[in-house]
Amino acid sequence: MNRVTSLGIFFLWVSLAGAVQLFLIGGGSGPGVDGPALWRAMVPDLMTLVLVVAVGRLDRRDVVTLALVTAAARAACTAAPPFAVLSGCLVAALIADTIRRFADLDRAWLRAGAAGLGALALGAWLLVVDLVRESEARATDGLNFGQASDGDFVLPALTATATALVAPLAWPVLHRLPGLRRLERRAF
Amino acid sequence: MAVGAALLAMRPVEPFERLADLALAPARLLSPLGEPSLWRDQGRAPQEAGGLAGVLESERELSGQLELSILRSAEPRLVPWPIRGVVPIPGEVDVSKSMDRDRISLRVSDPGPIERGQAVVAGDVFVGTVEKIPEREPYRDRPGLFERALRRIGLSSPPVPPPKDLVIVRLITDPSARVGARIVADQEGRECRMVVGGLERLEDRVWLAVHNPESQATRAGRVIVHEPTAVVESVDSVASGFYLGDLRRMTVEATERAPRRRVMGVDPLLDFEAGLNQVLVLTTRGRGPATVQPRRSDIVGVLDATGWYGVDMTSLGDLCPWRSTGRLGVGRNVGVRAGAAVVDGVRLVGRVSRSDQIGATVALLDDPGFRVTALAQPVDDPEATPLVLGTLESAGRDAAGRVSLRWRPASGSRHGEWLEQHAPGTGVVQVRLWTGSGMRRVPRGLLLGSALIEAPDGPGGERLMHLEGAGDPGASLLVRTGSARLARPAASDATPTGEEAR
Repeated sequence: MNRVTSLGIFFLWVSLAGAVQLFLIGGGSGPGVDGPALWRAMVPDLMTLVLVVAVGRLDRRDVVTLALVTAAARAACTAAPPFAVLSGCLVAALIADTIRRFADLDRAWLRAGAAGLGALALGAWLLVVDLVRESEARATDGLNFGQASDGDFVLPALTATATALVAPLAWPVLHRLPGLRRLERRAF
Repeated sequence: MAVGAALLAMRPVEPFERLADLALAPARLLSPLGEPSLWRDQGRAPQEAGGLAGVLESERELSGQLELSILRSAEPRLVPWPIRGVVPIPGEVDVSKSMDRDRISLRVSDPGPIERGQAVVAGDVFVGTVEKIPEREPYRDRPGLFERALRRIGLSSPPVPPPKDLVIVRLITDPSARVGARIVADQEGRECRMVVGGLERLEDRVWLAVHNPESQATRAGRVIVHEPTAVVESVDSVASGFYLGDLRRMTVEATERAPRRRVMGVDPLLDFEAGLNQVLVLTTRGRGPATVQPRRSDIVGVLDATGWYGVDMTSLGDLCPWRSTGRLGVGRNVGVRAGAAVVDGVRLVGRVSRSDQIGATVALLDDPGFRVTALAQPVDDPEATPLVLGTLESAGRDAAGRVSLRWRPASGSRHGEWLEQHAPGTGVVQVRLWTGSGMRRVPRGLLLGSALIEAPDGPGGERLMHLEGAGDPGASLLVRTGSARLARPAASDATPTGEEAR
């Protein structure tokens, strides 16, 4: 099994995580006049979690590749602009990589922190992009969809909290996802 | 890399976006994995597209009836009509030219007799004048060496010539637009002449600006176009007598930047920004009937037109919790473009927000910020002249799961008179909401749902409408692959109609 196949399998795992996340999100009520979609926001960001776990487990030279693969899978599950998703995934991966550089992501609180911070950075960034693009489209009368509000910043925070809580529990399972051996870091 | 991507996310650059879509196309092959997200919705899906059996047929009939009412509403009622020597050419408002709210594009039934400068009216109201007929403009295509090379290898293509039936109209709201006007009788019964054109922007409303009024003492009265042929050799003269609005005066208090001032303006009878649907171009050289007189048999039903493609959602929901979107399994490969309408029967489900090679993302009706130009028609009187609501903006769903739409009437909205006519005393009417004109790749006459409508409190106020019977994204859908304009399929045309497309 070569590296490309392993990356393909990683893409499959991330896509499956996205499918599960979409399924769970469908159970909560959507955004509305009565308030933001709090229940939807409480669904953990499984795609970011898979990415962070992979960054913790696999070779450091593959961090950017893993982020690119995650962004490709994530872009199919959201209306957010692909470049926003890409930059957000890169930031999430870099956060996890930075934490890993100093500690080995072997403690529960470190894992929770890495996953939570990654989800927070990605969610908040996508919200900022929505706000900027929406205000520009209004000014130029351009075609744009989606309208976030300042009050929605609570949503990425909630998602990040849920992701951080789930991370220590899901980590052992996600750490053993099959088909990624070729990408694992070598001890020697 | 992250910084570059971040910059491109904030400031989209078309070629890069295309490249990203192309690069992501293989990744999107796995998007059917998201199908479980549809399971919950499919449990509620009705038996037939557009609702229960028989409902679709009645909604199609209602849509046709609405179209007939709109076509009729373009003809004057109070202004003397028909005008001798004038042949009206009907035109539907297409998409406003980007970056310019003072111009609209029209798709007319017969562009032949239309000339620059001819007057355009909507009902009794003067709208503006014909500024350009793009098809008659000189066609310039002088590609450079690089462009020619790109075209040779198929990476670029020559500009698409404009449609033959396209006409650009300069609205009276344009800063350089001017038309002679008068008040037949002011508060003291005197005539007062003036020039009207451009906008007078106030805090909570927008008026048409008044220039050089004959008398500063005039305070009120209906302002009509006044361009006597003997005095001015202008094609506006055929529009003499058409309404501009009601004269108003008010005092604007001093601010840090401007002193206290008295303002005179014309309160328009139309919402020029989002309230124009069907207009007439008053031509003097054409041959034809002096009135339009639309018939039901002339109308192309929304689903009878060409340019629909049968499709199902592959996933529903968005990883961003503040959005409500879905994903279609077809994209540019079948001609789906951004802005295209997605319907369940006659009911609008959403619009394509982004389209790539093999799929498209749909912003659903309950996606906060989803904007739609709308018309309202009383449920118990489908032949009535519809109320032009202007732009409605989605606020998501309420606690009962209904889609909520924000309505903020613009200056020129005639909702007060309309509500009084249809619900004297109460001011609350049960209406069906339909899409209006002026949205790219969204035809007029798609059903949004039914709702109770009530006048907002004062100018600048807003109301929330709660939709019943909105389109179901889990049902079998159709996506628009053509333009907003509906075309009847030719007898020999092999292109399937909306229903045959499935």
